[in-house]
Amino acid sequence: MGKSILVIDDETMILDAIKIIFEDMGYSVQTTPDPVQGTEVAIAQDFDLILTDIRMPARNGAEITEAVRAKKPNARILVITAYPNDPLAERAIKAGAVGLLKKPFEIAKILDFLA
Amino acid sequence: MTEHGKRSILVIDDTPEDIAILNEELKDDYRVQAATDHETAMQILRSTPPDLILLDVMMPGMDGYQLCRELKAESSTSHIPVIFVTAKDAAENEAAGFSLGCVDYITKPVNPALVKARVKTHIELKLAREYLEKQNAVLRENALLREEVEHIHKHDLKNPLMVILNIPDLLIRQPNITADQKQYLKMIEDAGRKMLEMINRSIDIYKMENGTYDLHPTCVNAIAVARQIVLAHTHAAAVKNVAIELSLNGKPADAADALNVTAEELLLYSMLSNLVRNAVEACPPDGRVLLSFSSGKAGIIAIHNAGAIPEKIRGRFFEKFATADKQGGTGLGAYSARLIARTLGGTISFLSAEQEGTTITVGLPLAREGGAP
Repeated sequence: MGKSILVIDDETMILDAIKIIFEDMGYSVQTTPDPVQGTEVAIAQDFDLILTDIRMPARNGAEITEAVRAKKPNARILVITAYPNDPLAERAIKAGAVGLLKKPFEIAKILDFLA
Repeated sequence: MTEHGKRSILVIDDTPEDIAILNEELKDDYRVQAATDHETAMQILRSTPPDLILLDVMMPGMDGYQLCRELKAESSTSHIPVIFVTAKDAAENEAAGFSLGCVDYITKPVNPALVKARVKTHIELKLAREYLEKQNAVLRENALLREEVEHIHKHDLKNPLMVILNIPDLLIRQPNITADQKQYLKMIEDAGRKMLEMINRSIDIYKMENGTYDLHPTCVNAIAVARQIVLAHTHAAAVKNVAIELSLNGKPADAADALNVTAEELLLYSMLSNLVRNAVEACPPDGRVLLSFSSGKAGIIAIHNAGAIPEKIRGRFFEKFATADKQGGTGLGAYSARLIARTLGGTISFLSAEQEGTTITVGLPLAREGGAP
């Protein structure tokens, strides 16, 4: 079975794009535009990689990283942001995120974090 | 009108009788305060600043002109209109008062109707001015807010761009894709990249305007950058049969020539590219655009073409949205060129006349010997 990915982003077009590209490569992809629900799923299930946007209403990517890593210290979380020099992205890295991708990025770059 | 809603007037006069006369005329319509000496006047001005001051010029122990000068020099009172009340009616005295910033004169003995009329006029003027100032502040605030929102939208545009830039690649790798289809997909991707460049440039401009641009200068050969720009404008120049030439210290520049300046290569490219594009567009057909490089205290790049900048925009050439109704012109070319020149710690200026054409001169800090900035 292929590796599994969870993507959390309030922009559904980002979810759709990552989903079709990674399913095309044989990955299993779950997506949600709801950051609160995304946090629950990330804690309840195991993923090889969790991708989360930083700037979202209701809950930001740094808070998600902190909440998930508090429950699952080995969770691999990759944060994505449209803003360069985003202090929330730095906070997510401090909370243990494995990396940061700045939009728009080549979706294949996510592979670097799945090795 | 309630006592509280009334506009207030401060009468400064050493003669209680004169104060009483003015009070009688004004008390129905205004809240009248009075001071017979400098100290009391200052106290009232501090505690309950009036909307208008009626100031006696001739007072023993207090010079009305001097007091007016003080009021105008102090920021908390400079906006309060002052009307001089004086027995003197010589023209030169009036001129002296106006030069100090008073708005009107009333001569003693006062004519009641005249006092009322003048006070009313000047209070209304003050209210109108305050209203305009308030509106101005609101407009400025709205403009800032709009810029802020636009800035956020620019970042939001990166989301759809993610799709536009990534999906063509996925399609290209599908079986049964024809060469034509591949080319179309490449066109979509290129258009997306172009759009991303525009977004990033406009985000950079916003940061440079704010002074939050994070500059990382290195040593850049300005002539090499210019050669890339010439290549990129070959087509636009060829259409008008315009030649683009480079020179260094007065001689034609050859491939080995360098003018090393301290800059960010992308910013320098963007600035020179704007200026060269403008020069090619403004240059008369069959003409020449000359980029002359020279080094002195700074690295100088002068871009000349024979076309003159239309007179009506010369005065605001470097301002935002200054455009001579150019087809497709955004009016940001020269503006962003100046912004970039300043961000790079350089200078930019222009000379333009019908006979001589237009020369834009950019000065940039020279890179120190050895290449390191």
